[in-house]
Amino acid sequence: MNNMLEVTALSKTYADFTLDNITFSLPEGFIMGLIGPNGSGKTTTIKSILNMVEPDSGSITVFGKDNLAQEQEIKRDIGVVFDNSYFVDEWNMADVEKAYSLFYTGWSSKTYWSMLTKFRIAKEKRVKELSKGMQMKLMLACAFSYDAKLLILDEPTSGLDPVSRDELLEILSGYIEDGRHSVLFSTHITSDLEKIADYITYINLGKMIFTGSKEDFVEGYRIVSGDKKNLTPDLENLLIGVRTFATGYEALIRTQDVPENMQTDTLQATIDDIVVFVSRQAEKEAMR
Amino acid sequence: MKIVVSNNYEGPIYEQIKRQIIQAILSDELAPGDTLPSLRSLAKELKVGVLTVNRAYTELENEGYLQTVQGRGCFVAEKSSETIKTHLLDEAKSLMDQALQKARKAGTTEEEICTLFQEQCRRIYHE
Amino acid sequence: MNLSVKCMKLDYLLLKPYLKSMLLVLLVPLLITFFTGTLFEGLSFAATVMAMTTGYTFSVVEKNSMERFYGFLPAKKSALVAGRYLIIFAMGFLALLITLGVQAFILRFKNSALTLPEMIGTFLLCAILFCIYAGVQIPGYYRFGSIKGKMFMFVPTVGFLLFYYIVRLLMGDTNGFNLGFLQNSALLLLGGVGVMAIIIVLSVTASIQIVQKKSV
Repeated sequence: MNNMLEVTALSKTYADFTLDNITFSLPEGFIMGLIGPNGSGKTTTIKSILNMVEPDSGSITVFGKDNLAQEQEIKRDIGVVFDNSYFVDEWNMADVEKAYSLFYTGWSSKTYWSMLTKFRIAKEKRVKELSKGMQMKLMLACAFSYDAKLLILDEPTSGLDPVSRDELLEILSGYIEDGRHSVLFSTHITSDLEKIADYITYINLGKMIFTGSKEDFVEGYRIVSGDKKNLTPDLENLLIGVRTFATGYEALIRTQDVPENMQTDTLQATIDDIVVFVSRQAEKEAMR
Repeated sequence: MKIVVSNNYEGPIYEQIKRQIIQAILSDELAPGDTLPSLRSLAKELKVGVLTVNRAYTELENEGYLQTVQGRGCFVAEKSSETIKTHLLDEAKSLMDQALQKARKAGTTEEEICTLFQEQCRRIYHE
Repeated sequence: MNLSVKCMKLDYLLLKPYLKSMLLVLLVPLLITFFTGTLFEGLSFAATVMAMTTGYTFSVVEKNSMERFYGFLPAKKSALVAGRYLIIFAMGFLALLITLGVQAFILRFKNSALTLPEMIGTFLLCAILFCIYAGVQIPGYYRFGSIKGKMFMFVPTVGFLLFYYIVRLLMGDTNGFNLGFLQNSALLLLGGVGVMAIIIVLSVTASIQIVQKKSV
C-alpha cells in the first residue's frame, strides 16, 4: 500500500508549547482524522506539512517526495481547506478561478463551474456573500478542479451547521471512492469522524497518544464504571481520567487492562469519550 | 438490498452492516452467487470508513457467508444459507439449554417439559 | 509564464477592488500642477501618494487571512516576494508616467515651457523617491504585517516633508527649484537607474530573508 503522506518524528518548540515527536502515515485512498482538543498541535502539524511552519526536527514526505526539497511539485497535488475562507471578500467566483488557474496547470474550468452548480453557489456571488458552509464548498470545489490527490482540511467543520457537516462527509466519501485520493482532516468535533474516518491520529498537548485504524482506536479503550468502594488502588492505577461522584466512579480503561472479573461492567467508548478522559488524565498529571 | 447504519448507538458500525447482510441472505433478498457492492462504493453510500466496510466483509467471509474473488468482487457464498442455518441452530440449542436449566430450577420434571415443549411447538408451527 | 509574473497577477487581483480609489487620489497631484505650474511638485506628490498605497496588498492579505492561501500555493516564497515587488513597482512607475504625461499636457495648456531633459530629469528623481519610499516600507510590512507595521505607512509622508526641507535648505526656495542641473546627460540617467536598482535589490533581499524565516 502506498503512503500518500508520511510524517516522521516531527517536533517543534514554541515559547509556550511543544509539538513532540509526531509520527504517522496516511495510505492512498483513505481518510485520516487528526484529533485532539484545541491547542494540541493539529494546525502546527498541518502547517509543517505545507511548509508554512519550519519544524525543529523530523521529516515529511508527500507522495513519497520530501516536502521541502520538492515543495512546489508536491503542492500542485495538494488541496487545502481551512475553517474559513482565504479569498478576498470582494472576489466573485470568476476572480477565484482566475487566482487559482494562474498556479495550477491542470485546472479544469469545466469541473469548477459544474462543481459550483452542484454546490448551488451562484456565479455572480461574492465571497463575502457566501455562508460558511458555502465558503467551505467553494474551497473544496477549487481543490477538485485541479484534481488534488491529497486533501488537507484544518477544522473544516467548526462553525458549520449539521446539514453542511453531513454534506461535507458525503463529499469526502465520494472523493476517496476511486481509491486514488486521500484526506487528512483535523477536527475537535470528533462525531464527524466517528463514521467516516479510516485512520485516527490523536495528539494531546503536543504529544502523540495514538495513530492507527479507527476501529483499533475505539476498541483499544472501554468505559468502566462502578461502585466507589470497589475502586481499589490497583484498579485506579489502570484507569484513565477517573471521575468520582457521590455514588460511584467512571473512567476510561485500556481494553487489555480490563480485569477478568469486570469484563461485563464495561461499555464501548466513543472517540469523544476517549478524548475527554485522556485530556482529563493529562491535566491531572500536569497538576501533580 | 437495503443497508442502513445508525450513529445512535446500535453497536459498532461494522456489526450493523454484518447483521443486515446476514438478514438479507436469510430473507432470500440476497441469493448465493449474488454480487455485493464494492467496498468503496458501499462505504461511500453509507458515508462510513472504507476500513469499516472491509472489516464487515472480512468477518463475513471468515464466517463463511461471503466469498471474495480477486478482481471480481465479493459474492454471497454458495453455502451461505446453510452456514446461517447452522449458526441459527447452534443458537437455538444454547437457548434451549438455558430454558431447560430454568425449568429444572423451577422443579419441572422431564415429562412436564416435553409436554410444554410440544405445546409451544404446536403454537409456533401451526398457528 | 514566469512564476513571479503569476504571483504579480495574483497580487493584481487583490488590488482590483481598490483601483478606482487609487486613480481618484492621483487626481490630486494634477491639481497641484494646475495651480502651481511646476512639474516637480506635482510629480513628487504623485510618487508619495503611490508609495502610500504600497501597504494595500499587505492589508488585503491580512484582512482576509490570505497568508494561508499564499502558504499552500505551489509557488516559492521568493517568487511570491518578487511578484509583490513587481506589482507595486509596475503600478508606481505606471502612475508616474501617466501623471507626467497629463501634467505636461496641463502645463502646455497653461503655456509654460517644458523641455524634454527637464521631464526626464524630474521623472528620474521622482522615481528614485518612490523607490526609497516603497523599498523601505515593503520589508517592514513583511516583518510586522500591515496592522502592526502601519507606522511604515508614514514613510512616504515623512520622506516627502524631509525631502522638501532639505531642498529648501539647499536652494532656499522650492518654487524656483530649477531642475536645470539635471541636464540630459547619459551619465546622470545611468546613475539614476543604478541608484534605483541598488535600492530595489537591497529591499528585495531583506524581504526574502524575512519571509524565509517567518511562520504563518
